[in-house]
Amino acid sequence: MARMDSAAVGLLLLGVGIVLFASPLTTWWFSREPPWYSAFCIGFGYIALVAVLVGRQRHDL
Amino acid sequence: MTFSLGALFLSASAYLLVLFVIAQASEKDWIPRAIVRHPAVYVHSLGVYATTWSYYGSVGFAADSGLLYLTIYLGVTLAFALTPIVLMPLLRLTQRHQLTSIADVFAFRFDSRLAGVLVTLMLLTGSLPYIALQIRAVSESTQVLSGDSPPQVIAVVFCLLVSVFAIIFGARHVSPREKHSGLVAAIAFESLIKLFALVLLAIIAIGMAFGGWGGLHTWLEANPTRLDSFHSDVGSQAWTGLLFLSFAAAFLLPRQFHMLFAENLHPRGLRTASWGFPLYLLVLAMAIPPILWAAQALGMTTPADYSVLGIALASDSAALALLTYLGGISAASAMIIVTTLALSSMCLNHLVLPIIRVTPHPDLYGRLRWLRRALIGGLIAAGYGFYLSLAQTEGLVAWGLISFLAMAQLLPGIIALLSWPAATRAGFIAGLMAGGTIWGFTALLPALSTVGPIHIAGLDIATAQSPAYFGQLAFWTVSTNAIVLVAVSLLTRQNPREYEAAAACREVSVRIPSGALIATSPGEFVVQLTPVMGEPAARAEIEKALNDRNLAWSENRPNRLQQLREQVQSNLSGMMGPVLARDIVDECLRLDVDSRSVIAQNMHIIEERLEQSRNGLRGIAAELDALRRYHRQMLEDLPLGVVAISTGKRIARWNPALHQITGIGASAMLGRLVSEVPAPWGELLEQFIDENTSHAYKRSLPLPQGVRWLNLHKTLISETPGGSNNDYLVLIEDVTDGQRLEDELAHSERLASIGRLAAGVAHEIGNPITAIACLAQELAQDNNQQTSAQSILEQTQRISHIVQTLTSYAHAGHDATPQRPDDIPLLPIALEAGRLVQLDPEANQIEFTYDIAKDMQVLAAHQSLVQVFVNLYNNAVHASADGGRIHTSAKRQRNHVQIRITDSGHGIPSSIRSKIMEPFFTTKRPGEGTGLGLALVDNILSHYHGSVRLQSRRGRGTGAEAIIQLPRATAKPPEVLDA
Repeated sequence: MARMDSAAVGLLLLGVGIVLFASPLTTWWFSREPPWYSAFCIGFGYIALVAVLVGRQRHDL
Repeated sequence: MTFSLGALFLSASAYLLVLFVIAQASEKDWIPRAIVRHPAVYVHSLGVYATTWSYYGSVGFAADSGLLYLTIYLGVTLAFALTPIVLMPLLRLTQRHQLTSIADVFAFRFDSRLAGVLVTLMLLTGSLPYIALQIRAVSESTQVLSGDSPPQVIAVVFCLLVSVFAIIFGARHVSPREKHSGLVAAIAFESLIKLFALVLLAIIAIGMAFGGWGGLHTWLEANPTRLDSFHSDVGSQAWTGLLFLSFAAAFLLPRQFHMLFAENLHPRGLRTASWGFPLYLLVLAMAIPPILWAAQALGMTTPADYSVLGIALASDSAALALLTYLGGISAASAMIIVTTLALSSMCLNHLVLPIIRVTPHPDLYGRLRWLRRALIGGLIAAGYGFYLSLAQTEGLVAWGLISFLAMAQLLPGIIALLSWPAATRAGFIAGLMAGGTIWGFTALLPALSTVGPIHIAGLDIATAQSPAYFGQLAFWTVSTNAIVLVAVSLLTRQNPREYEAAAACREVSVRIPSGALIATSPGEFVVQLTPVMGEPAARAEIEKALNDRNLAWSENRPNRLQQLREQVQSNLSGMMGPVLARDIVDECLRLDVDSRSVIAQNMHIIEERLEQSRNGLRGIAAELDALRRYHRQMLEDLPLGVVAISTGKRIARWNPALHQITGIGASAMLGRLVSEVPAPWGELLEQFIDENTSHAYKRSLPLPQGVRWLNLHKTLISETPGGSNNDYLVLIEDVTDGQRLEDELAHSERLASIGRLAAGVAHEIGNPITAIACLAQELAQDNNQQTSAQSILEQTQRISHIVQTLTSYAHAGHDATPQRPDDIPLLPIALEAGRLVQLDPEANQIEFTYDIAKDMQVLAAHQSLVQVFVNLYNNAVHASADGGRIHTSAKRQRNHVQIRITDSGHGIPSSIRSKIMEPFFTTKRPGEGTGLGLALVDNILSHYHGSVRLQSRRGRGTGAEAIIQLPRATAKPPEVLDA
């Protein structure tokens, strides 16, 4: 995968974060009565994505 | 189970003493630096975000609003996901300009003392009640465990211990460059205690209430309303609003800003924190629902805010209860310590110092330290005062959200700082005042009010302070703030200093010093700063700045002194804030704005700035920069030495070609006076500048390596068409090689003339010698004179042989056409060349020896090969001392003959070994050698398919040897035969 610049990484992560945590998708998902820990699982997944993408920006930061 | 007040008091005190020990151990390097400075310690120190509100209050928050409590952690996760575009640029900005607080950042960006004051007041107002909240949590948690009324003494002692810790370990240095490693380690330890206590409690709570993980699920299935209400607020307006508030609080809260930026040791730590810190918070947050449901399942009567303690008590484990209690102490103490440190720095820089002004003091640093310590004590005392007055208010959550809302007012300013350079000081201040006023009236005032209901637009805001209410306030206050900021910025204009600061924030620093420095040495800097700072502090600051810039006290280059001035300003900014630092530097280290040589003096700085800002330039600026680079590169790549000399005879440009000519690098020369240029170049330049002529040709310059000849040209640099600023551009052309070639040609011409003359003389001598020889033969027939005649005959034969050899050698040089190769005996050629060389008196004392078989023949031309031997023998003679020996040997090798000429001279230095075959390379002084001898040898031999190589002599003694390869007489190459 090609290295993305800092702005692209930041905007991508913001976009994904908004979709996961502050969008109609969030409302819909939690209206389906998921297990109580599902919010944390999503959180862990998002943090893993941040770790991968920000880690790849080593030289740009 | 209850605890006595004494036991709790001792536990809390002992715990705080442990923090002292950890901090001291870190500062004294008793704990290895690799551990203290590890990114994991930095990440955990950010856990100061989790206060008693998170530790105790999250359970109460979750009880009231379900998963809404998670927004306080998810907002942080989103903020840290923006590390590449928000946190990292802020880190670079704060470290480059030594900005210690968010108030410093705004004061710097908008070049405004008022901006710093307003931000400080806003943060102070939002933080003091929050500090009070921590004190109350400590007091109330003690009450829960002891069962007594709120113990004031615990609160007082807690405040005292925390104050002492903050003063000792947080205000040790006045400069932000010196990090408080002990403080960071202690706060990281506190974060670990919080996490460990809460996670352990959650595990025990699940076991106590449900008998295990499966029991929790069974209970939730049996009570579906619990899970329904838990998820009910997800996606609501309150959800979005709180997500936004915690996003802003993640890095704008004073304690967060302080730990993130002021105590950061390396950007690597922040990169790790981008995922490590959200992970820490998520694990912390995950412990909350099990604790909540366990408390509900157990039917506990403890207030929901203190369910954590209730469950610990219900476990009947004194150790667990004490651990949980100490977790709360950790949360409260860490928050108070770091917040007061951050606020004390802001108050000192933006409220206190502008009023009391910096005055000369024998120990300025000590004075600043004590001022800061006093502020720390005062702030904690104010927090305690708030605690006493807020005793009647309820809930831990509301005060936390009020504080978050205050921080959110800075978010429009941060966005403008990072991405909208056109934002103006007036716009920021107006926006902040608009948002802050709404915040004050709708959030702070109702919370502080002890009178009856407060109605705004028909809403009793004193009782409406729910998370949903704060979510709405977040929208209205921040959007009002942002709209006012944009509108006022569009209606007002930036002044040049604001413009410069905006560019610096975007890492496009194009600030050009507006004048030439009046001070001409670091010593004068000290003198000029002394009236404001006192001599010891002034000297210490200059010393520090010199070290930062790697400069010496003897430095006098204007561009370096400009950099020193900027470093001093940056260092003072870390100590006193950016506005005061700039005032001091502008007032003391004055610039001469009338100087006509500003651009020439600061050219180096300007170029450095443009290089650093290259990626930030857009549009016409980027085009102009590209043009500038092109023009600069033309000068840099010019094969002539270029030196630009400003009005004060300081060097403004020194290109690589000049470096090559002089051996002096640009970095050593830029900014220097021409008179400081090492001899003899300095005298040459000075003399030429003072001359009336614009051109000087073939000026000789004696150097240790030999004389150089230079062409010099100069011109005045015009500032405007027709005008000039008395700056000079001097071009230096090294014509030494050309001059040397001319000399050698002239010398060769002289030698050729002598050669022709010698040939003529030899011819003329030949005739009388022939006559003498004839007469001697006749005389020899007379028996009486036979012996004498024989001697005359031998001597005339000898003269005749010499003359013939000389004549044939001289005639050989006339024909430029290579001679046809033939089978020729090698020994006579070597002997002939030896005899020729021995005509030179220098070779008289050299012994020539030969080890060549008489029948050995090579394929070459006689005269050409004599030339080869003569040249090699000449070199060997010049390298040898009197009494030396030159030995020539030859042996057959397949189709070749290898000839080895060995001398006993000084050998070939390794430094010249690679160049000796080059034409015109000579180690002799000009006029004594052409440098063509070996090149000619190589050329002749290659024509006959031979080769030559020179090397230092192997084995015994010093000396050199020439190894010649020539085809054997029986191995004629076809092309040679054809020729």
